[in-house]
Amino acid sequence: MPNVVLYTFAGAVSSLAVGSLLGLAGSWLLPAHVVPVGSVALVAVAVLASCRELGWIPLPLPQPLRQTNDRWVKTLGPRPAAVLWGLDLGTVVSTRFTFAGIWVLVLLPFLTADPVLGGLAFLTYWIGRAVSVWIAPLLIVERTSVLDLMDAISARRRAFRSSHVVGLVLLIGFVGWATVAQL
Amino acid sequence: MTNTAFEQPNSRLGRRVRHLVLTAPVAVTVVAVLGSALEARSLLIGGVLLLGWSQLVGL
Repeated sequence: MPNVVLYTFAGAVSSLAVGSLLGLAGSWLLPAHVVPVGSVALVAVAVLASCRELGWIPLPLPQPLRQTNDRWVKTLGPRPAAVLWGLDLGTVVSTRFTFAGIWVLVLLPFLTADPVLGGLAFLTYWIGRAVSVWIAPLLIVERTSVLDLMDAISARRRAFRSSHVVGLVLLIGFVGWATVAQL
Repeated sequence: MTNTAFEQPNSRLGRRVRHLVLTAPVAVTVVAVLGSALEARSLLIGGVLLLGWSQLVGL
């Protein structure tokens, strides 16, 4: 089985698990009357994160300070490393965040107290993240190194940040829609 | 110092990345918004897909 498949599958497993567990934790810990307030809190966090990424409000980004271990490929080999990288990155919360909207993803299952929604959200996030390893070979043209590709991607950071903000706007729309539907 | 491949004006790699970075999020957003007419979770899926996609720059 190709390493990219192992990586994607492992990340899907950990994403689904973490998202569902956060939802379960919310259902256990949050009183029922608090859950609707959680939707308001989610929207507030999404708005703050969007403002931060747009440069409107200077906010620090609380986040884990570790990155996944790139030595695994040397110590364990490519196939175990692919699985471990997938499991590690798939948790979302074990490595550094790039943008602030990750906090919305993390809080979504907990504040809605919905493990199914949490698992779906985290799994979908992972799919969006893992798609990069599938399309990268399609971008590499002759005599183009991986470093060239990473430089070209980094040069488009502003576009990725904008995509992140659009994602947050869509999430705000979903939370608002779901809240109104429950009224 | 020679330019890297992407720094050369209109390099093939630069064009491919620019095309992908611009069109993929637009496509996801359009589908999510149109899909929301049938199912509100379309906004959720589109939103978190874009959150995941944007992580590409964090590599």
